[in-house]
Amino acid sequence: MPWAPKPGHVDDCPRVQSRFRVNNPDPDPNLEAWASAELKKLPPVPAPATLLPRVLQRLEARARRYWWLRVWWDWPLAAKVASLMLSIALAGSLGGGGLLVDERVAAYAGDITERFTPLAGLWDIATALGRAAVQVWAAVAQPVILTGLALGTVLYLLCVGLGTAVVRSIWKRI
Amino acid sequence: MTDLEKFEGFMKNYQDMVYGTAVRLLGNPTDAQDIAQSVFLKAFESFQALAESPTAGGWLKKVTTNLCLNQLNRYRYRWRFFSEMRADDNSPEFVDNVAAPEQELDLDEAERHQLLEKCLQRLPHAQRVPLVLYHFEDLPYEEIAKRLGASLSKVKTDIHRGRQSLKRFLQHRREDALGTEARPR
Repeated sequence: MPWAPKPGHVDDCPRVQSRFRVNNPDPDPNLEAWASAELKKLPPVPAPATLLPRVLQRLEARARRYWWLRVWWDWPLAAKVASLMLSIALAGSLGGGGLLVDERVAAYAGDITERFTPLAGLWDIATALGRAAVQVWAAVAQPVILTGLALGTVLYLLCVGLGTAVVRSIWKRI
Repeated sequence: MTDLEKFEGFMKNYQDMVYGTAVRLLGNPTDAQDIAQSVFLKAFESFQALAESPTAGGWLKKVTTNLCLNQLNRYRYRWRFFSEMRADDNSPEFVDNVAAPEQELDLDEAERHQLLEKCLQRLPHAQRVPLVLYHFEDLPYEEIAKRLGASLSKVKTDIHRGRQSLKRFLQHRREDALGTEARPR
């Protein structure tokens, strides 16, 4: 005879039984056998009559497409070889062209530098100010801002965690 | 016989299996039809190898399952979040509002099958997907947990709840049917 809690025993409490059911999700061994037998007996679900024509229509439409509209793998062999050669030629010409462009750009940059030589003094001042700003940032602002960011992140995560815990506990009680 | 004609015959052999797998996993005939179409379009790309292969059915079933799980995974974070928030009760409106089974279920077989299919479709994703993977695809609990990215205990609990829901639903519908028959006209 299976064990059963006596009336008034702690295990007789509905809350304890409910917890037992949660931790032992399969207290009824017959349920699995029942479900297995029932579900295995189910006949196959018939596909809708529209499925076959729909797929065939797609395949026919795909076959009717011009070869250059299909994926590269489905192109005719000659077209594949030609496109490959063309791509290589294009990449080569772009590389060579890049070298020519580089020379012209370098010459143009030289011209520009000469024209703006009188402004070099201003540039020096700007550079010095920039360096000073970097030093101020490193000494003062960086630790303050980074600490603020870290604190903000911790507080944000704390709020999200607390919020989630509160919502979940309330939901369980409802 | 052209490739397309051969493929038509191939599709006639397997379309019920592919569609059935998809509709049971997704619980939605429209989505299942879209998935079945994608599966057969993929199959056509590999038709040379599949046409004579004895494992074509297994290949189709695997692709169907993968596509369905991918489709469900798009909404995974949303449904998993809500499912875990309601970890004590995945579907109160569906599972708990129906009567517990007390008598043997003695429905007509065809009616019973119809009801079971209907019930499967109405189960929440979190219960239906592991239940179908376990009972129809014969995957072990560990594999299901791995594929769904859920814990083993959650998968076991969800499958158990799914079975309970099926049983309760059948009982509930039977009582409804008996009530309708007994009602005076």
